[in-house]
Amino acid sequence: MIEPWSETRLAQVLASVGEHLDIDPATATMPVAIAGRLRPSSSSRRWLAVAAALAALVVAATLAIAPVREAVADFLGIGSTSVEVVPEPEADPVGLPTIDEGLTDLSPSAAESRLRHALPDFGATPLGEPDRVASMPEGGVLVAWSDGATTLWIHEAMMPTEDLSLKLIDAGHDAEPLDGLGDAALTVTGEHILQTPFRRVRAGTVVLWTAADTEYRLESDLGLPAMLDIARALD
Amino acid sequence: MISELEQGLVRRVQEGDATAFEELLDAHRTSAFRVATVVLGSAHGADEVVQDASIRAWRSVASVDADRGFRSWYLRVVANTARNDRRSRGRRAALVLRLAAQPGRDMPDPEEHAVTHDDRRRVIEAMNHLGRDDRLVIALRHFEQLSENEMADVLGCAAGTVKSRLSRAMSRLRAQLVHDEGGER
Repeated sequence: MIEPWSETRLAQVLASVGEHLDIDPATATMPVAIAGRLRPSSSSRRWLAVAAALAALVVAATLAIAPVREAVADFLGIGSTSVEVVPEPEADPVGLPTIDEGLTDLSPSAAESRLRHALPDFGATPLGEPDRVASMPEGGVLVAWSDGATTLWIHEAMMPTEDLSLKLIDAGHDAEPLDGLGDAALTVTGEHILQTPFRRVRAGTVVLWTAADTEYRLESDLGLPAMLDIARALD
Repeated sequence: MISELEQGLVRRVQEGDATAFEELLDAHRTSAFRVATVVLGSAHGADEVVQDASIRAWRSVASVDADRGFRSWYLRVVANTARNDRRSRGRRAALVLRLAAQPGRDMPDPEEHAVTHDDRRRVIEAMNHLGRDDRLVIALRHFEQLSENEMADVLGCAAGTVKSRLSRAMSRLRAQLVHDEGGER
C-alpha cells in the first residue's frame, strides 16, 4: 500500500530531501577559495584601481592567456556589469543593433513606477529634457536624447530579473575606474559590445556608475569630457 | 526574523570588513550550494557559481538592507548567477538532482518523522520532472524553509505571486508523485 502524499507528509519528505541533496563536495573549502579573491572594500576606488592595473597588465601581455582574461572579468566590473575580454573576431560590433532599437516607449510617470524612484533632474544637465523614455527588456528604463545619440540606462545595481549579467566584451583595455562619481564608477572608451541574455548590441564610449542600489549607464558620441559633465550633473 | 548578530555582520561588511563577509558566507554556504544545484540542474559547477556569486555579492553589498537580512539577498545573487552560468554554458534544462549516498538499509530516520530513503527517492524523482521555476520555488520553501517574503526577495516578485507559484508547483509535484506511483503498482 503506497502512502498518500498529504500536505504535512510531503513537507516532511521535502525538508528531508533538502538535507540529503547531493551538493558539490567542494562546499567545505569554499570560504577559503573566496577569501583570496576579496579586496578591502566593495566600493573602494582603490580596488577599482587595482582592477584597472590588472587590466592594463593583461593588455601588455597582449591578451594571450585565457585564464588571465577570466581574472579580468572577475575583477573589473560595477553593479550588474562585468568587463570581459574576448578574442577577435568574436568581438566585432559592426552590424549589431544599438541599445535603443526595438524598445517600448514609456511615459515619465510609468518609468518612475518601473524604477520605483524618481527620474533624475534632467533639466540640470546640458542635455535638457529627454526626447524619449523607454522600458528595457532586461530591467530598468532607457532615457534617450538625439543630441550625440545619447542614452542613459537606469536599472538596479543588482538586477532582480533572471539571467542578467551584463558584459562589455573586448573592452578590458579601455576600461578605467573613475573617482568622484556615485559610489563607484567606471569608463569604457571606444567601440565594444554590450551583451545581455536578451541582446547583443553595438556600444561606444560609456560612463557607468552606481549610487545606492541603482546603476547608471551613460552612452554618447559627445566625447568623454562632455559625458562626465552630464554624469556629474545627474549624480 | 533577522538576528542582531547578522545585522551587525552586514553593517561590518558594508564598512569593508572581509572577515565579517566570510562569516556570513559560512553561515549560508549550504543554502547557497543547494540553490545553485537546483538552478543548475546538478551539483556539477555549483562550487564555481557560488564563488562567482560571492564575489558579485561582495561588490554590491552596499545595496543590502541590513534589517531585511543577508540570506535572501545573497540567495538571489546565487540564483541569478547560476541562471547566467547555465545559459552561458548551454546547459540543458533537465534536472538530474541526486540524493547523497545513503547507507544500504532503507531505515526510517526517527529525527525526520520516519522519512525513509525511498520516500526521498520518490520525491526527488518527481521533482526531476518539474520545470526549473517549480523546482526553485519548492526548494526555497521546503529545502531552505524561507518565508513568503524572503522567497519574494529571492525571486524578485511580490509575496502574493510567490504564494500562487508555490501552490501551482506543489500541485504539479503531487500530480507527478501520483503518476509515478501508478507506474510502480
